[in-house]
Amino acid sequence: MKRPGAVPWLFVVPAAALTLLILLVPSLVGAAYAFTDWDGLTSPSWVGLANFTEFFDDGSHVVGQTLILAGLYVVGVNAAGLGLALGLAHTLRTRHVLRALFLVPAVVSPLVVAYIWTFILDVDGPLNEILEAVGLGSSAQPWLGQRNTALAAVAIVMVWQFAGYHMLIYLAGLQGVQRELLEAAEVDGAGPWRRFADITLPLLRPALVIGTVLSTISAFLLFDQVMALTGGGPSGGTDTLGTYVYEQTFVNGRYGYGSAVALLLVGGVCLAALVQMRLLRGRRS
Amino acid sequence: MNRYGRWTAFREAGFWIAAIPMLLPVYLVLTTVLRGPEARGESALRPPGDPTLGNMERAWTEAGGGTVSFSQALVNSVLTTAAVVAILVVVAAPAGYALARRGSKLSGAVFGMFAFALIMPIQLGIIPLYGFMVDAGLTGTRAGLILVYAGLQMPLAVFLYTGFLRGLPTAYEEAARVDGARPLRVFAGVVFPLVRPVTGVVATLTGLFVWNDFFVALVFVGDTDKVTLPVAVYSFVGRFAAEWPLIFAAALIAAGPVVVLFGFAQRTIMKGFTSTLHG
Repeated sequence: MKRPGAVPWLFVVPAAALTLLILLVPSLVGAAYAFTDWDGLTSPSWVGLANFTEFFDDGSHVVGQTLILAGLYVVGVNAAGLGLALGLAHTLRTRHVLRALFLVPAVVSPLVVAYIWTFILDVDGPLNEILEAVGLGSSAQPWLGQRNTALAAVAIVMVWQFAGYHMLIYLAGLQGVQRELLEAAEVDGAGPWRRFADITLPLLRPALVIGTVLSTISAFLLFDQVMALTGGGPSGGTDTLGTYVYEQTFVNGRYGYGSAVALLLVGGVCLAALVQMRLLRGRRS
Repeated sequence: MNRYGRWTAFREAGFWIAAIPMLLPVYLVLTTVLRGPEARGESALRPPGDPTLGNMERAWTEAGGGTVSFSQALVNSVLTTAAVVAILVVVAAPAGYALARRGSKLSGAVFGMFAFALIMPIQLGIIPLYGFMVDAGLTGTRAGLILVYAGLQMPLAVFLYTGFLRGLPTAYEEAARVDGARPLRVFAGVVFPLVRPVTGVVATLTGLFVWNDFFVALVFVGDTDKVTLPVAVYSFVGRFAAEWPLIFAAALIAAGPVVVLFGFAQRTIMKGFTSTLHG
């Protein structure tokens, strides 16, 4: 039915031109800068892999922190999202109100959300006040101001904001789980846990893949929340790849070095996206 | 198996208890904003004895000495977001139409380019792009910021339009074409009205992105009077750390419009969030 030539190519040109100009060509140039010592002022000279070796020597703590944060966030947000989806899929009378309530934070600016939590988690903030009021005053602490809690605090704020978004992913996934199948299993004497593990969970595999990969990517690229909550502190303890690239390039003017780290970051994101496609395709065929 | 029994009522109550952490920050923002300066030292947990809109007024007009007032930042956010959404719809819809209807190898390759751009984060390209924009004299301008956002969100918009149009029967277009309508006529008169559901999704998703984005606006218009709300909040916090009543007033100005939009367009937003998941 399709007659080639009916829709002129001209229709694609503006969209393709804008994408190339703003995103793809600059990314290609950025990939080339990664092998130079460009500082934004003098002309760049080729340094081979020096930027990468420097990063592996000096930046490994940033990779470690990014991975810890990603681990906490991925597990937290997917567990919370799955729990919400399972509980709010049907039956509950107020499920639509509850779903909306859990989803609202996801449409608000992450920066604004993070500032609200900076206030809540402050040493003199409401959280510590609540802890003292219920007799847990001894566990009140500067949540964002000390190394051992700051990273987890950032992850918790992100889970708070995006649990509802992940709930949507799992709600969409649950639509593929047939009620008849679950009812048949119940008739056959399978308990709730067996039904979940043997029927629901395998059918949720695509949703689990999507949820895991999306949360991994956003943890890799994380910037806004860290800037607002800790600014990368205390003493670099919450610097992640996203904030590190920004500091190196725009604050320290090390464009070449920053590009090298960004290239590694993009590589990680593309790898995650490829893994997602592979896992999903493997399931469909 | 889904009868509403005692266990279900228990579960319902449990979820409402779980929702308290979702509501508590909203409560704290409101009590802080509504508390007057004379009650400064009071706990945020306590409702303000004598609620006032003074903080909202101050944030609205003077922004406590920031680069711009929050009312100006609100205007910037509205103009930038509206322009980006308009460009995206006008440019991406015809592109998606062409890609969906042309079955050649070339169109497959072009679609592949958009798909690749879709997973490409901005972090790598933003440095050279910043250089290009400096050379073009577009940094610090609203036009430059709009152009950058449009380019960054284009792959998503094209992707959504193409996907939808591929599943749309061609009978109406064929009929219009048989009647002698030119391609642009067919598109504007027949196809564009048919893709309205996607236009809604594109507008809400990309609009939310632009409205909430901090990084791109910080890089391209930071420290100018063109800043959007998140950057205005950021630079305000930088100058007046711990001025929470004013910061939260600004937060309300930034979050209010999207929360209201969420109230009205909840289904479109939910559809938008899930329609990006099948890539």
